[in-house]
This record gives sequence, structure tokens and C-alpha cells, in this order.
Amino acid sequence: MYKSCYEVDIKLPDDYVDKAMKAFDERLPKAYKDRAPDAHIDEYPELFEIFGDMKGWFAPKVRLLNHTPNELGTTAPHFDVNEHWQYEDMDRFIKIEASLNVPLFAPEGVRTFWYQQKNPDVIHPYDFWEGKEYEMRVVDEFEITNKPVLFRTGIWHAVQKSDSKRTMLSFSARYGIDWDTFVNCWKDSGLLIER
Amino acid sequence: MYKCCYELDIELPEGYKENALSIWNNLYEKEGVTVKTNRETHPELFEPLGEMADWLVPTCRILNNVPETHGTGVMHYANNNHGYYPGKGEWVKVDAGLNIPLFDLDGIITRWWDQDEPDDLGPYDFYMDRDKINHTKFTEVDHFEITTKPVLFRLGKWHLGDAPGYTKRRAMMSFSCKMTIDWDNWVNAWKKTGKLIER
Repeated sequence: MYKSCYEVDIKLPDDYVDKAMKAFDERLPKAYKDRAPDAHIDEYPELFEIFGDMKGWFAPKVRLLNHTPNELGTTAPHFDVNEHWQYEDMDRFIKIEASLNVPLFAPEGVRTFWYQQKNPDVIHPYDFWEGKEYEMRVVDEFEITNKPVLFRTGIWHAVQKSDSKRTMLSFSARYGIDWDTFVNCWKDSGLLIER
Repeated sequence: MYKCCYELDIELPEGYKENALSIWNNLYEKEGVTVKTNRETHPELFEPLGEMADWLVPTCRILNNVPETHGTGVMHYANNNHGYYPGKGEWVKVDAGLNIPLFDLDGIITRWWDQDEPDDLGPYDFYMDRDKINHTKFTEVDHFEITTKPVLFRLGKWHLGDAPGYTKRRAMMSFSCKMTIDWDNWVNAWKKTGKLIER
């Protein structure tokens, strides 16, 4: 199986952080109370331009993260579902199988872990947030530093606890694109950095 | 990435195939093209899998269609259109499954594919527009001929049973994993049992 995180060799323009923060500030008042704000490509095309020809692989909404992992709840194992309606007019519990995250924070040693279930438990995607526990096996770990990364959002994963704010843009792959397809298309682009 | 199909070293009890086809016969009139049943009604269909059956949802299908008519001869991936995941919506993908062939050897190869382009595709697109496949680019990532052994089967990736012009029905048990179990998790769980046959 492929690893769950790969850096990609994408250069960010000098003003990208400013653009991202402007979008965050504008979109924050319109965000759901329990979710990070998001921005649509029609209103914020400049956030998607860094991908060039690869832009078409993404859903039209980007999530704008500017929180500590503790605030966001990503320290508990979870997988991402369609709760930002990245896949417009489709079901909430569709998994977001693959994403590309663009870190805009200073590296602080926080690692992300990916897991598989050891047992065939019936687990709701939000169970760990509600304090339930299940046996898991770590299948990968990675520290996101300053390069954009392909990020496997569709399997159980959790970020180490941290009170440092991690500003990050999270772009979701289109509906139907599985992790292996996403990794393969970035390999073909020559931009994926093997681990 | 893992391959998309692995045989399992599981012996089926005598009469398994005949029983499954008899259930299909009884349900076909009522259920039509897709025949479903469940573990509560027919626990014997799950029994050859032992404890590994607990990784599966209780609903299973008995496929017995002509591949290119109503069947699996058209490019597709599996979604929750048979109510495997109650309350989760039709468009949730079913990533991993297990198939038990009930057919006579037919030489049909199943092929799995990656999209080459970021086309906006849904799981039914190639059923609804039979010409669309000629205008969509894919790269084959695996192929396998299912013969007599049960197989782990990657349901959530574009695939088809390559059967142009095949006119007979092709019978198969099709089991689906629980919603949180992705393909890699499923393969790894079976590797640990010692029953997965590596390719």
C-alpha cells in the first residue's frame, strides 16, 4: 500500500500567505460554528492557481484552517467526510479520500498518525470525538513542515496534541478519486517527492 | 499500492453454490435485477468466512446477470445503492468486498483502472451513457481472472468484468465491508489470517 502522506514540489508565491489569511478573515464570519471556514474557487481562484494544470483534480471548495489541533478536534482519530459540502448536493458521509494540504505555519514538530482498525468494530466517524475508544494500528506517521503534502484524509488519522496554531489550506480531491489514483496522478506529474 | 484482487485459501462446503443459486432463484421474481439477502436470514452464506465475516455488512448480493446487460461488464465502482450503510446516503462509496464465484469457468478478466484526467464522473455514468467510455481516459492498474476461489475484491475503484459479447449469466456472491474499512485495511486484515494468497 502507498504511504499516507507525500510532500509535493509546489512553490508558493510570496504573497500566498496574505491571500490565504485574507480569505480566512473574510470567510470566518460565514463559517459553520463547529467547522473551519471554507472558500469556493469561483470567489477565490487565486488560492487554487498554485496547482496549474493539476487544479482540475480538486473539489471547488478549500478548507481554511487557522486553529490549534486541540481546537479543531483533529487530535482524535477521525476521517474526513463531506461536511463542508465539498461535493455539492451529495451525501454528508461520503469520505474525502484524498486531499492536498498547504502548510502556512512554522514547523513545530507536530506529527500526524494514520491508523487501520485492528477489529471489525462498527465505528461512527465521530465516535472518537465522543470519547469512545477502539483498537487501532499505526500504518504511517509524518511531520508536515513547509512543503505542501498529499494527505490521506479518508482513513483514520489524528494529529499530535498541540496548542500551536497551524494555519493550513486543505484542498479535497474530487468525488470518486481514491487515494491511489491521487498519488499516481501526482507521481505522473513529476512533483511528488518519494519517501 | 496493493493489487485489486487476491484469492483466499478458503474451502467452500459442498452444496454452497447450489444453495446460493437456489436462494437467487427464489428471490429473483421479487427483487429483480439485483438480488439481496442478509446474514440473519441466510447465515450459511457467511459461514465459510468464519470470524472474518464480522468485517462485512449483513447485506449481501447474489449476482447472476449477463455482464454487459445489467451486470458488471460496464465500468463502475460500488456505492451504497443497496442500503449497506443505513442512513449514510447513496453516494457513499463501498471500498472493499469479498466475492465468491458461483459460475463455471468463463475466462472473463476483471480489470481495475485509474482515471487519467480529473473528469467529473459518477458511479453510474458509464451505464447511462454507453459511449462515454470511448471518450474517457483510463490507465489499467490491475487485472485478474476470478476462477474457483473466493477473492478479496476492490469495489471502490473503477472496474469491469471484461466480457464483450458474453451472453450467459454470471453468478457470484458479493459481500461488502463495513463503511470504515478501506481496501488497504481489508487486505492487511486477511494477510494476518494467513489465508490471503499473495500475487
